[in-house]
Amino acid sequence: MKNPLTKNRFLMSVLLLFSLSTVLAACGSADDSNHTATADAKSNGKEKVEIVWMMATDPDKKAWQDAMVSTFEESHPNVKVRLENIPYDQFDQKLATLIASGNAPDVWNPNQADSGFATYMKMGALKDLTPYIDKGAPELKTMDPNLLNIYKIDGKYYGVPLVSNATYLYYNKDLFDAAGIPYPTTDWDDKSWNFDTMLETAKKLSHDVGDARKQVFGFSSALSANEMTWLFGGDMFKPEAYTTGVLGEPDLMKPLNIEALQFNVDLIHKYKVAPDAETVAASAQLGDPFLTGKVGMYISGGWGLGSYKKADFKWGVAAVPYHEGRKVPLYVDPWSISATSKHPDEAWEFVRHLANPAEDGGAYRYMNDVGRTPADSGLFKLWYDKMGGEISMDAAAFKQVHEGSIQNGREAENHLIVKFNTVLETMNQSLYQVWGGKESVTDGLKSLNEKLLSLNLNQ
Amino acid sequence: MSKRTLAMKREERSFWIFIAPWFIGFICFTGGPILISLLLSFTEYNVISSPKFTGISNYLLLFKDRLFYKSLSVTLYYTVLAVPFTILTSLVIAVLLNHRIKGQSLLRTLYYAPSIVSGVAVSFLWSWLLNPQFGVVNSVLYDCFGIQGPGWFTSSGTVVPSMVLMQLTASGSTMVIFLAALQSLPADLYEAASIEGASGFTKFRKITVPLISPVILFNTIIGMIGALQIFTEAYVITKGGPDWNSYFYVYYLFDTAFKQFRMGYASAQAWILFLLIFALTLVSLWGSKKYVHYEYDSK
Amino acid sequence: MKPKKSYNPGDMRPVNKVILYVLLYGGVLLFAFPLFWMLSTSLKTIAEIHRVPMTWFPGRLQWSNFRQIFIDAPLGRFLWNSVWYSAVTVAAVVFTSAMAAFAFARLRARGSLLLFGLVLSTMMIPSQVTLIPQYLLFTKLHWTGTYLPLVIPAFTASSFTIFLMRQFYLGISKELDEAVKIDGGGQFTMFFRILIPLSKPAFATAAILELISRWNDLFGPLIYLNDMNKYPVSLGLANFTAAYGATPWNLLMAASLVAILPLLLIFFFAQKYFIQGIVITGSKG
Repeated sequence: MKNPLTKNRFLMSVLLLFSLSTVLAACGSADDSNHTATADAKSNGKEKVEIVWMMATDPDKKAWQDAMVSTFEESHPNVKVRLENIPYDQFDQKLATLIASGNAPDVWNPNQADSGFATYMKMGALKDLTPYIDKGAPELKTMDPNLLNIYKIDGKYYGVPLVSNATYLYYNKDLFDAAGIPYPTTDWDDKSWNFDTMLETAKKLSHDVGDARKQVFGFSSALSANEMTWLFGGDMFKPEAYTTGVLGEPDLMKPLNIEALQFNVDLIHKYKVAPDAETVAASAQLGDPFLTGKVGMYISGGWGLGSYKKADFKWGVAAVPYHEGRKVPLYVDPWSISATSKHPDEAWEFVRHLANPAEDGGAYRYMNDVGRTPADSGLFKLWYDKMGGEISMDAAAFKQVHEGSIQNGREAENHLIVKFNTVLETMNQSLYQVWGGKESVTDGLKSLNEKLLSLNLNQ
Repeated sequence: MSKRTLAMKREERSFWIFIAPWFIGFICFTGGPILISLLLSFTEYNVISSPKFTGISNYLLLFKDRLFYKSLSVTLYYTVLAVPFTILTSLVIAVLLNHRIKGQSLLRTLYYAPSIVSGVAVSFLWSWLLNPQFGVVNSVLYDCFGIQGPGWFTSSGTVVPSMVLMQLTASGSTMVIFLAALQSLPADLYEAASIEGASGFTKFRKITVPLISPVILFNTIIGMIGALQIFTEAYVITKGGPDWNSYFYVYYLFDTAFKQFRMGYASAQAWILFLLIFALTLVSLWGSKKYVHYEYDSK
Repeated sequence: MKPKKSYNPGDMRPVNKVILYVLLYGGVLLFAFPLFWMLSTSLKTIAEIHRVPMTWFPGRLQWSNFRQIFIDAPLGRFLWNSVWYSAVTVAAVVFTSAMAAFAFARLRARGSLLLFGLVLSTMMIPSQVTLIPQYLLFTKLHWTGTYLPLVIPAFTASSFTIFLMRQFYLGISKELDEAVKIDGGGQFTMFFRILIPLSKPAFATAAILELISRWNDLFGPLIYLNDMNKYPVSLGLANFTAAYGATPWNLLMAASLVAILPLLLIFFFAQKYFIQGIVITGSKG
């Protein structure tokens, strides 16, 4: 016979247990740190060690990443590499969160998204790699010391370069052919290829502007407003901003800045050869503007060499038009190790694996499989041949474009200025009305100035 | 002691066991955090170093922060448009659906169903419907009427109204509540009005609206609280643009807390939002006193 | 009190009747159109969606789009994450809330009213206020990057669900309580034997409302989860376009459709209980 009392008692204890477990789960944090400590002690022994490698999600890199993990685990049976993929849009936010909460990954590239090296350096998140480099790493023998020095702060190395993307003028060969005009030059020192001649070319390429379905624009760019001013020899920020990483008071009203931005506004509204803000936003909903095939010339970074492979038109790369004092952004990305990594030795082994320029090494395959510009000078020759072939350009001409870009380049803003993702967002939003032709350049810069100052970025 | 107190004690013990999960959650995840949040709002805290007490400086900074005003004003603008829009459409549908017609229950389901899907998928859907170049809305405008459609989400002037328009298919959830209220209305009042020769619209204005006014008020307050916290649509479709015109309050708070790690400042922002919601709710309750009729009780 | 005869406007002039039908059925078309367009786009080729003038229906149904999206992104993974996460949290919230609701509706205890007042007042507090301290707490516990910060709080009930269930319990006659007491059963028998079986519509309503908000939630996963393989379908979908240089709207719509389909299906199966529950509790959906 069932005894209701026992049954009730049973139910009651179940409920009590349930409630108790909630208490423990929710509030029982006291012994948590001890717990992790013992777990660490264990893994420091001969047991298998796990390192976390964090990358922004990119399908182009997927095969390469998987190969890197498996080849490394093969040669290092005591190490397990856990690859974490984070979408590009959230990369900086997530990484900063992980660092702040003491859960930083072991190996990553700080420059993958809109924020960059300076931000993470300032957070104290990066490990000094000098002792490791001094011990000798044959993988770095053919690395250009200038590139290595980009990530040398106060005599210490904090990163090992993996790519050195430059900036080019991409052009749509089909549109040029249709308009019957010659392709732009590959010679960066050719002063006849300047912004006036570019404008003339853009006029010939543009047609049906205003008709959303048929319009073709002669020119557009992926540059930030600040980078636009670099092309004219200007700069929105003070030199100290790039050396100290602290944005400080911006320096927006320089005549060269206004000239550069005004030129870009005129391209949109006066000459109607470039898309306005709304068109750019609308086509951003559809993807990369150059890939739509409706833009004749497009200034963007070296990653386009890889991602424009899927374009359904022929394209090439050329020199960015000449201007006194012209500078274009260079994007040298390093591998870094977290300052709080529990397994820095294994992480360094993995970085060496990733930086290895030998055939089937990480750097080689990154260049070969993913198609990104190598950092290691030992790989340049191979890369020129490969890229030239892929975009049906003479290897020498391609080399000329690339080297010209390096000579005219400076390190990208987001790598050097702290919390640049926020600065960039502020810049894009505040100047929207300028590109829309609803506000003058100086008014736009004034409002940008106010917004930048009210961000309190230095807090 | 008597038996009765023993039974009462036992009942009281059961009471606490039954509410224990909620109570623990209240202490750990609601009550405790509220106090901590208030304390944090008087500090500067970037998660890495320990919090630094700064008095009311976060609040002073807020009142000088241009983005604070911008995000607040676009959020209020959205709320002022979205709440009446949703109340009106859902009320009209509910009133129409309350008539005896063929396929009534099927219609009810079909009007309600779109409202259960929201968030990311629906944001993408609307972003596609309203794409200025290839979206179906602008295509129809152009092909059938020869009108070049607006830029919708990509234009400063139309981005907020576009987000309000998105709420059209979400109005089903408000609609069912109205429907439930309409079904509990007494028939005798309407019959009396019909005898006096009142038209349908008069009956709606003079009888229906006053009778369901508490429900309208309820939906308005709930809708307002929801609208003030809009986030997903802007995060998915516009990233807060163009020119900050969809940079809603919670979006700014999210950026402050999880992009810039200014936890103290973000806590101050959260408290301002809390006070705003509290004040607006009180104002709605107080301001509607004259128009809301509670005297009729459906029980 | 016996319910009054409810008002249901009946006979109207034929003209008005026609207008009514046109409005209602036309309105349904308007409401259903976005979902139709999602389906139509998802079955087109990329060339078709950019075709001028546009076409209403796909030329040939591109079912392969639905295969493609599972190859391009770990969509299956996202769906599975959403399914288990929603199942666990919905069960936890509904059960713990039902417990609390039962206590508030049926058991006498000192301070009961005050505590219920607390339940009601927490419904008004925007989640942003508790967000940051909660986040800091979970960070200290090293729970970020896992589902724990999203799942554990579900085991502590939700104010709204407590309120909803309590309303329902209040409507159940207390005579049954007495019957249980006479049979020698205690509060637990009452809860499990009487109230749970009787409150199926309330459970269904509460469960569906909770499911809708869990399935659609972006903010929580966005803050607490890091690795893409752990993403639920809401967050996974938000990053779906990251896989392409140009946004393939046909594939994006296919993925969106897959993301909302489970919810729509559950709704259509459970709607009988659901609408009944809403009408009884008069609560928000």
